[in-house]
Amino acid sequence: MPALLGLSACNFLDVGPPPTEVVDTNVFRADASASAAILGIYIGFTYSGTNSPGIANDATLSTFLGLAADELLYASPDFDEYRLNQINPAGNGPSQVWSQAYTSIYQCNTALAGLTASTTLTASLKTQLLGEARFLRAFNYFYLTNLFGNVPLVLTADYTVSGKLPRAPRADVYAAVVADLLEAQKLLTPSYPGSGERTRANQAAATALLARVYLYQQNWAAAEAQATAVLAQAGQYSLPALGQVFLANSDEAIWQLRRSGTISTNTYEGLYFVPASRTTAPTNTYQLTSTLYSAFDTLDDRRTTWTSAYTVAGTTYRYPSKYKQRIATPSAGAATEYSMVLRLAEQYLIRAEARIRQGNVAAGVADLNTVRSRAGLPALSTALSSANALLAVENERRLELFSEYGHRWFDLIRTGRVAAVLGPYKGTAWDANDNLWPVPGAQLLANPALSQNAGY
Amino acid sequence: MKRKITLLLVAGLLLRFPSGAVSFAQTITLSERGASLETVLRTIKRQTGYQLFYNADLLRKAKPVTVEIRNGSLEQVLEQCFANQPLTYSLVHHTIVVRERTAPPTPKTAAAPIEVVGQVVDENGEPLPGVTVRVKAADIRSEPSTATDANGHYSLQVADAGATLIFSYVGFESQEVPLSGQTTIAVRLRRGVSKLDDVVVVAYGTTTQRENTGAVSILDAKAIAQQPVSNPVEALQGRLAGVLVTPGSGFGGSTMNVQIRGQNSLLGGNQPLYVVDGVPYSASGLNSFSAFGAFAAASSYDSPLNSINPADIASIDVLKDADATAIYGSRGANGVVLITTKKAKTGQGKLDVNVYSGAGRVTRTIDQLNTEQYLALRREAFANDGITPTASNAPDLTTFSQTDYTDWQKKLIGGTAAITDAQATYSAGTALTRLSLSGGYRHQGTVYLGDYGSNRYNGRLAVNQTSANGRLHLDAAAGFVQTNNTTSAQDFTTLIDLPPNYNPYNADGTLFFEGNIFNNPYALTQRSITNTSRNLLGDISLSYSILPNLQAKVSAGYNRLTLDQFSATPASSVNPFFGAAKASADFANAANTTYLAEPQLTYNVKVGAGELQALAGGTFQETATQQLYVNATDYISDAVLENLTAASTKTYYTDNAFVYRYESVFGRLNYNYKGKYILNGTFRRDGSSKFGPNNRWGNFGAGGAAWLFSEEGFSKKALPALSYGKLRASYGITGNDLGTAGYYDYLSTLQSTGRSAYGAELGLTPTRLGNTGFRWENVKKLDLAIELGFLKERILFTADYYRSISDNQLVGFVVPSQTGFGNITSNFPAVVLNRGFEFSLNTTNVQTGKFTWTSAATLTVPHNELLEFPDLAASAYAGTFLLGQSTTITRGATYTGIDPDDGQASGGYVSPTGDFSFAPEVLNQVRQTGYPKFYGGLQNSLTYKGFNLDFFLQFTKQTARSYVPGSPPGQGLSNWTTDALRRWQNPGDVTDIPKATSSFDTAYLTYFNYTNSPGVFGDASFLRLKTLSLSYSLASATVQRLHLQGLRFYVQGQNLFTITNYNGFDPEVPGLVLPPMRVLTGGFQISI
Repeated sequence: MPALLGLSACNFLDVGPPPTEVVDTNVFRADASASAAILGIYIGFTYSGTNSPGIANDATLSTFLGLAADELLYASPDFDEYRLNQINPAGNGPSQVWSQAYTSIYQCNTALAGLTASTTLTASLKTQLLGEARFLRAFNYFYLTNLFGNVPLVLTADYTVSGKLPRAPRADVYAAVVADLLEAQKLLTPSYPGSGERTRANQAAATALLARVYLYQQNWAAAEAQATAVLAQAGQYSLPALGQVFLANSDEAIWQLRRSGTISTNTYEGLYFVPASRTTAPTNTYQLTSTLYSAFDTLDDRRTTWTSAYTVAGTTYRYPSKYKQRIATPSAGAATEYSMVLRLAEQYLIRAEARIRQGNVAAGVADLNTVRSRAGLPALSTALSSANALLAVENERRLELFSEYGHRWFDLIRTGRVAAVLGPYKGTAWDANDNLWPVPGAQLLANPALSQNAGY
Repeated sequence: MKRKITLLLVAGLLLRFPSGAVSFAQTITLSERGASLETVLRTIKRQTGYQLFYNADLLRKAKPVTVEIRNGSLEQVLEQCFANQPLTYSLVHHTIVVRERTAPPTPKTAAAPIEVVGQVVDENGEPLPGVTVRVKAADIRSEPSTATDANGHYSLQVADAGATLIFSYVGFESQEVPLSGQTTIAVRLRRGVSKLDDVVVVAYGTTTQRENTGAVSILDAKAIAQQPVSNPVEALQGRLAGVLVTPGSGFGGSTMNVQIRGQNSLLGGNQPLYVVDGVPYSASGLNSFSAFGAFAAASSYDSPLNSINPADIASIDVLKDADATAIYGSRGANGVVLITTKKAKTGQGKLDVNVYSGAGRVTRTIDQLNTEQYLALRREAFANDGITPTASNAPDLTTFSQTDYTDWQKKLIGGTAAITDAQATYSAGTALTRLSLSGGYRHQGTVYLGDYGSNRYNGRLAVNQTSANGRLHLDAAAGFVQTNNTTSAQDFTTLIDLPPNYNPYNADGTLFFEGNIFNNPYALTQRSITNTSRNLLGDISLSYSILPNLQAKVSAGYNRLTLDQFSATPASSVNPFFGAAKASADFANAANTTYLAEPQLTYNVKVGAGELQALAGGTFQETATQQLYVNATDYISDAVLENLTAASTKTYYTDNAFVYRYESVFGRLNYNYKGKYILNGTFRRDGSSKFGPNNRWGNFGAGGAAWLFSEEGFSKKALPALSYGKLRASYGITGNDLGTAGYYDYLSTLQSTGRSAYGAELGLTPTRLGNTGFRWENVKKLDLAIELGFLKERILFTADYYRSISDNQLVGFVVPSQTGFGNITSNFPAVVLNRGFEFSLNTTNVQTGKFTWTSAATLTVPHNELLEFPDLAASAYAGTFLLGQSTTITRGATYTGIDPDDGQASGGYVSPTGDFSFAPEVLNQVRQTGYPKFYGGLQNSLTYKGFNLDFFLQFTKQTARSYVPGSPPGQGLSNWTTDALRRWQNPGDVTDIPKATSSFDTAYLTYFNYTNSPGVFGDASFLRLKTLSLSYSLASATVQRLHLQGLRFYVQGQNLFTITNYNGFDPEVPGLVLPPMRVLTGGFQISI
């Protein structure tokens, strides 16, 4: 009798798996759910809702780093902590960017382990998904280390291990990023996965990011080689007219992120940069700094195509207009612009810089001129001094890549030019420690092995 | 010589109703041979429905009865039974009263007996039937006695004209009257003050305070009825020792936080287990969204307890110590709240109608700046920063009117909420079958701008049936409550800091928006959230007496709680800043269904001189919950927002479902030795599906003992004034039912990305870090108490000392985000101590025929302390908790006041190295908050003739965060409290309010530090007239002339006044949230 009771007890308490969730061990057994798990990582970059900063989310890097550098102003003091480079370690920005990146890395780590162990997936799909997971992990770490400096290098999903890791030296993080990207290059194919839209990582995306990583590492030859590999695919990638660049699947796009078909926001960049009203004074929108606007040559078509202005009560307000659509048109899924993460012009600029650094100024300036010519600018002399050529690269990157993913900010820091450029611009607000964000205060408490950056 | 009388008294003995309407069996069939008279009488009772009234000692004199009769009348049967007995009987209004056969007149040699007659009535002059009248003597068995008839009349032959008569009746104080030669003695008996023998509902049974070994506090229906509240738990506020009840907000229907004997769980849930008529009741809200935003804290949700009609409740019994709660095993750690609904009573059909109506306003408001003061502050802020106000940074100084003035507080939350409550109950019953049918309606408005409010409809049917042979007993009840609650889409309280010169309308009458800076309140009034909750609660219990001392019982319960939510956002209410004005609507359905089956066996047996009571049982419970939440946009028209097909975009936010199962075996042994020594032991073994397969089962148990030392000879001799004295002690282990943890936390799972697709494709996203290793959380509870009654319990005093130690804390433990998640469910070896003293005192201060004054006071002095926390300094909680301190402390940086030189708050989060920091060593100021130093209440009840005045004072000594605006004075378009008038303005000013600033510079940062420092905490103690109730019941004679059974008029007030130094809205609900209401109602109760 008690035995019978005991038996029934066992059965009664067995409620089975949750009806609305998939148990993790089952996810990588089938093609559909394995693909969905990888898609989930991309979707993590596009979560809706304002004020949820992330590396790719909420146009965080394009806006906050634009403020931190000399590109943007904001009409209210809400984001002065970025403009004045006095970032609150307890604030939303560092905390959300950090945690979202590591959530994304966790997904990559789970996927890599699950995919590697799986024996039931279609072989080609398995290879492709492994490649995407590698690429996405590298993408997260690239920005994490450039924002925060040394960061914990988590390569496992086991929280008992990952939760105790201290910050790894930036060199180790870079080494892991390079390793992931080299592996991704092997695993991925030139064609885009899934629907064929340029919204998931392919081989070129891995190569393009690798080119940038080598550039940041000052491995000029490797940077040149990787950029060349992308630029060589002329059939797939080319420089369209300025007005076409940021359209969905434009010829220039190497990797774009797209929002959900049911979300009315088109791109976060469009939402934040395009003003809701052109007839009232801006209260909560971003404006271009006059410093940046006046840096454009009057002949520069980018000045007219990629910036816009409106005037209220005699005051002119300028804003970045690379993206034209603020929100999607009422019918769902009508977004015509995708958020650009990697594009071809940057590869020209990477190769230009790499070549000049290696003493090949003429070839480098030629790459610069390719970008300049699209903007309607005259060619620079290939006889520039190396120093001037490098300044020309810095200037061209500033004007080509403004308000995109914090390029200006990262460029000034990696070239050591930040104090020289921002010091005079920011005045007393500038501090030598400002080139890194603070590690979020809550993380320091959660993991005693972490340390804070200097100055916070 | 102790008088020992056992009375079998049934509710029907009150005999308030004229005969005729109740059907009693008219014929009897009996076949007994040599049976005891008692057995025969009980058989007659079962067949006729008549009640029995006798002295047990008397019945022992009876001779065996042999009777054979078919379809005889009651009188025939009784004649036969009493034919050769030394006893006789009389029929007093459906009660068979047995008494000694009056001795035949003795020969003339003795003194002639005197016949004494008279009437016995109660305090209100109502005749009392069944009162025992006897002559005082050394041996009561040698003296004649009688009982009063239906009209309270008696007649007794007394031998000695100098004798003394004793009038006694259960529930009333006995009275002794010397004859002194009189032959007519009229007596008025007072209702007894002893609550000791009132029924106390405990787990799986009932007991009395006298015999209870555990700590139980009770709120009865009368105290609930005096308070015009919609949530029954609200009625507990301040009234029970050791029970701390605080409202989540002043919303009608908001969650009530109930803490019984402190906060045991460090990070998990501290809500008690609620059990309604034996069925566990989920008290956590099913909301998908609330007025506090779509993903608001659960504390702002509608409380399902709001779906229990207070008028249906007979009593709320709060079980506090291990002895009382351990039989609930894994769910008893935070105490248990047993809600018992009213049962039908025997009697003629009676219709009871109770209607009240009234109004409420917020209890307290704050003082804010007027336009002139506000604008001056703003200008000063800009001047301090050397910034020129422009249309973009200061529209209030440039484009807004400089003279308009709106008191936004008054406009937004200064309204009057109408309250109407009407309840009707019909009940009727015979001795075998009783039923009650009730229905009601309640409307409660809000104090908000706009048209909001809730309507509740309730209906309930309860049936009790006993089989003719008395062995089978059935209790069944089914109740349904529907609440339609329409509330604002945002708490208007959060908008009271709108600039006083803000005009919400443009010149053309359209709504004016100012960027994304704030919401236009008039736009918000076009939005609403409608919560429709339905609660179906059914329970049935069937018991069968296998043997007279062995009972089998099966209880089964069903509860289905659903919440349908609809939130409408018409296009006209949308701030264009956030995108093209587009209508949207949210739809959510959630349902929680519980099935429960509990087989039980009880066995009573005499062991030695004592009585042993054994209970064994089991529980099988399943709770299934599902939740669906859809957002719809791109509507064809604002007019059809309730039509999903009219929206071209639908986004599914949530589609959750889970199943939870729970199983246990439990037992209880209770040994009662002569009513002097009582031992009680409980055990329970629980299994829960929330745990990993290897950690499902846990064992819990407790023991309690009571010693009624007042029953001892030495006590009676030494302390004659002490009528009741008891020492009790209990110790045991209870578990915590996971608190906030989920239902599948042992599994790592992924779920659909839902509303976030990649283009059109959905993805999977991880939901949690699974942990298979976590186990039950335990709380070890100790309780020591003394209960004393003086002067026949006119003074009743109880003092408890309790100590709970909880370890093995089951928490959503914070892990660094680098793991991919913010937390993980796991056990944590922190140890939390709760100890304290609870006192309650009940006194009958005055009791005369017309005037009664009773008081009840409670006082609780709690103490809560974190005893252990391994590696606290290195944990995520290094900045939150401190060893040796309460778990509810607030830590902050040193605040040293406003610097007279620059007007900035000084101190703040500055580490020793001068950097901005939240490091634990900087958080060196500790504030004991969220936990009172002591709390309690004082109830007074005065009755004079038909008038009844009750008032209840609630008091709490505590510290809380004052209301401090979120930004420094002058910053942003937000008004300030009048505290800003004493702000720092010039070097040398000594004040506690920092200087005005408009920017986010260091003055802002220091203000931010200030708002997180102890400087903003202050005394939030209060003394509150919680309840005032004045009623007048018409005299019974008047009522009868009106052909009624009762008529009562009353006025009631809730939160009528508050004495406090709190700087903010309401000390009970600190912060920026709608304060509770001050309510005044009037009504009447009529019984037909």
